[in-house]
Amino acid sequence: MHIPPFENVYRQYRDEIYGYMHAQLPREDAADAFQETFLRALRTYEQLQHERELRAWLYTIARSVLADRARRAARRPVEVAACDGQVSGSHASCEATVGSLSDSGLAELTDELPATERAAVVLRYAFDMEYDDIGTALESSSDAARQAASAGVRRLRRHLGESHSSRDRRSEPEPGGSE
Amino acid sequence: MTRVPSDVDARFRREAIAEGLYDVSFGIAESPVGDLLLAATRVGICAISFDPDPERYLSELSQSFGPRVLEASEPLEDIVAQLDEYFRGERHDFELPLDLSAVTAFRRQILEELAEVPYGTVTTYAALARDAGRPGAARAVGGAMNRNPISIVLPCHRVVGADGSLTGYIGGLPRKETLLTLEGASL
Repeated sequence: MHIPPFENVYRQYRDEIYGYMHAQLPREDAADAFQETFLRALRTYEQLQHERELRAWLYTIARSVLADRARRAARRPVEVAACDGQVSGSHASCEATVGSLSDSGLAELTDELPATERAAVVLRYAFDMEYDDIGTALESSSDAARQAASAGVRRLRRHLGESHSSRDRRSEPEPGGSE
Repeated sequence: MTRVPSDVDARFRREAIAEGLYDVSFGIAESPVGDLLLAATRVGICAISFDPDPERYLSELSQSFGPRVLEASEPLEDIVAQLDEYFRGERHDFELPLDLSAVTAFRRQILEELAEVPYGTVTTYAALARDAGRPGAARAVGGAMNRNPISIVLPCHRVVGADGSLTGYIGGLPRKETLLTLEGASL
């Protein structure tokens, strides 16, 4: 079965794939993701059975690379910029919640989130990615990404609420204490 | 459309070569006889062509050695350096591993005999056939020269007609004359 020389495929799609990565990641990360995409492509290129759908094949690899990066990012401790609290609406509420976590042990708290929710929260609030792109990175849809981020934030709120309640309880004088 | 920065492109190519993720690497090198297309597998040099248009050549390389054909300079550094020395007149013999796996057994036998023709000398098709143990196969030797995949290093420019005429050359007669003149061969 004849498939074209890899160089031809690379030249045809390299700009497009780089643009795809560059639209979603900072330059250095985009360069890494671009390289990883084409290295993975080279690792399996000989196994291709035909030259149809090469573009779709490359995008499948690119999405997989983004998803892996998102998972790795979600496992890393991250710092989230504090929200100024001046915006309104549910998105602002999410930002306020996540922003407040930076002072409350975000790494530990997000560690407890399911992987997809943690990835969605981190990509949305730490990397400021659009839901369309998060959906692509997680190999799901924009809606699913939004729901995952929302569920993650709700879960964080509950953790945070419990944490604050626990702290509050600890700071309250014990009934019948010696004070 | 966003273009891949050249440093990102180069980094990918270097990494692919470092990981051995290629069947053939190729590049274009300037020379006194025009641009040359150079190609190497992980075994050795597999092509030196006077036709520097990769578009026409890559499919052939892909079908002969595998589809992971990639432009990259690292695997070609030795051949580029030795060709430079050759064209400066400082090198008479090439010390490079060759990959002749895509060549038929008969043509390989002829090419291996060809490699023994000394710098600055010429031989004839009939003599080469005789030296290869195939007396009477001068025409077939001519065919092998016409399809020599590794020009210059396998010196088919040193093969001339029985009457001493240059006859033909894969890269055209002017190049053949230039190479023989460079080597100081008596024409």
